[in-house]
Amino acid sequence: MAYCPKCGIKVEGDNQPCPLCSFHIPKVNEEREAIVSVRKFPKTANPYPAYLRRVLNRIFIFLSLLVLVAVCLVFYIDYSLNDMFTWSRYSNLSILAGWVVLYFSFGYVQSFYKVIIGIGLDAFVLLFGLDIFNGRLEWFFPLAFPIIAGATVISVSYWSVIRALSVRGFNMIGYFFMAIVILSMWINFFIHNYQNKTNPLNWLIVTILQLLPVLLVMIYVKYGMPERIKQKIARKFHL
Amino acid sequence: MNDDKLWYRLDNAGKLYSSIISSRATTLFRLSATLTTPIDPVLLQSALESALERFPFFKVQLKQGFFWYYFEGTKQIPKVEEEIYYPCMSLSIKKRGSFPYRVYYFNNRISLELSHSMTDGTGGLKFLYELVKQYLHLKESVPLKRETISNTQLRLETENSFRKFYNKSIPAPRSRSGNVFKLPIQLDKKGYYHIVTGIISVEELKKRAKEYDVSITILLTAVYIQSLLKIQERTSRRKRPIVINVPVNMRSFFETNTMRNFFVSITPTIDARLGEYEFEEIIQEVKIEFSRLLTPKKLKQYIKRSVISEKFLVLRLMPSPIKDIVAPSIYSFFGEGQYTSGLSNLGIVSVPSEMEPFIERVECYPPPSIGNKVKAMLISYKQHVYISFGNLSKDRMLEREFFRNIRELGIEVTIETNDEES
Repeated sequence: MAYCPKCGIKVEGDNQPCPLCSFHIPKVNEEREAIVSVRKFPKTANPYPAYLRRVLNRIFIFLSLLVLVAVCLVFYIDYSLNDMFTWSRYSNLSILAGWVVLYFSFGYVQSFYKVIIGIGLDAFVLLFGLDIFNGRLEWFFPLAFPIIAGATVISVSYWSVIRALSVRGFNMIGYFFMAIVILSMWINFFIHNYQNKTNPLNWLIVTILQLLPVLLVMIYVKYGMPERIKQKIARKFHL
Repeated sequence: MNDDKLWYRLDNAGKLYSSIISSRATTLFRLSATLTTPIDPVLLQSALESALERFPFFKVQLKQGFFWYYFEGTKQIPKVEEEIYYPCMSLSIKKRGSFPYRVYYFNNRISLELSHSMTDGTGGLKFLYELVKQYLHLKESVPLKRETISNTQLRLETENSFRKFYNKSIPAPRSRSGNVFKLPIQLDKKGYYHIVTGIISVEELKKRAKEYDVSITILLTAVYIQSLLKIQERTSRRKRPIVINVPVNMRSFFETNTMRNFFVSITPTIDARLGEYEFEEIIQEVKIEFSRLLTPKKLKQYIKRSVISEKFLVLRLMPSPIKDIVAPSIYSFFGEGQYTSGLSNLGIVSVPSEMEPFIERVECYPPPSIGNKVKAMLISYKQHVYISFGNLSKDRMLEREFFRNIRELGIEVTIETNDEES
């Protein structure tokens, strides 16, 4: 029998962490008096992860069948009314794109990067289809393609930065806002460009002029502000 | 008699427990007996069948009625299984064909895991005793006494004693409510249940208890409260009352033979907001609280409170699937939410002298609970008290504090856990 030096409790086996405080209990039993220990508990199995997977699989298969039925029904109605596929192409492409998102949300793909890229590709296909069904591509290349590509790239970089710098808690929200600002600028640029309201160089100068003061204020608050004023702000605004 | 026609209403505790069952809060508690030789599953199976002949009340399965769950008689026989899961986990008693209990064997140990919707610790112990008795008869040829059980006795064993001793005119006790201290620990993943068992000598405990002129239950409750006070001191800036849920076996106060739930909970409390407490002060308070409440008159008030909740018309008219949805939140708010933790003493187990040499130890594990992530249950057999903590979290702060405090009283403790080797 061995004792934990910190808890004072007795345990059967020595040379292992204390079951209560994890302090390592030193070896005290001589080799020859080593006790033949009988397992008191089995190597346990946990059925819940497999069970949860089974339930999710069932729900996913049910929803997939529902999607299949809906797609067939919509095609049938459209064809019987118009003798060709007209509006049903739009709705069915949307339903199928939704189904792909569903597939990702059920956790069949573990890597977050693959999920982001997958959903991005799904959006590409959806928007490309919606545009080309009109007969010719109008807005896909000037608008949809860069916006989705930007959103995907920014999501992937956000996730990489969060992981690389081990960002936690409130800072995650801070970084999220930064990503949103960059994305908004990106989207803004392409919308303006599409409407031919401005030339890219002017747009860049105006945006930088807008953001520069904000950036300078933030850098000043972080590095340049005297401790006294920081204390004062903390006093006035503490929660 | 056609068994298919046989059915039982649940008692009021059972009605509540059947509605709150989830994959974590399984309502299963474990009673186990460790024998001196490895268990033979074939003999154990026939012992189980004989025990079921003696207690036909256990030949039931839980069924969902429109308003309430109920137990329906069945001709199926449960199978003994080799233990593979964490204790008190991974049994959904509502599944078709499943029984509200199961019998496990592992090496030398026979474990009976029972749902609280069926019976309480005392009822479970009676069944375990019968099971072990039949097993030892087959394995070690321990002689059986012939006993004939009359139909009247069988009926008395299944009676709802809450209803028998319910008195409409007695007022229910004023219920205490408020914000009690909760342990700052996180739930572990589903399917995991961590047990820490402390083995303490009965003699040493008795000696210490005698010095304070109290019973073992009061001494251990006081140590439990003291441990929680120390943890609160360390972890929480705001002080809150410590409220312990201590189930009381009503069979010691009222004449009944029932095998079903028959307990009420009393709640010894130390209000940490009033200042620091010495151990002697805690013991005095708990002692006064116990002697004040443990009288048949006061306990009848608690029976009243148990029964009126199931007589509430709105609740009765609610279809049972809806009850399943609302019951867990009601229970966590009015039930477990009112307690910091629970400590249950199953008392002393004694077996006839011819069986005693074959039984090494008897243990009990509390049912997992989400509102009180750590609970403790204790039982005495031969020279030892086995006090087991069931914990849905990985953090053992309460167990550590409790057993260190026991050590500070100068009492030796041996510790065993269920996940030392995994």
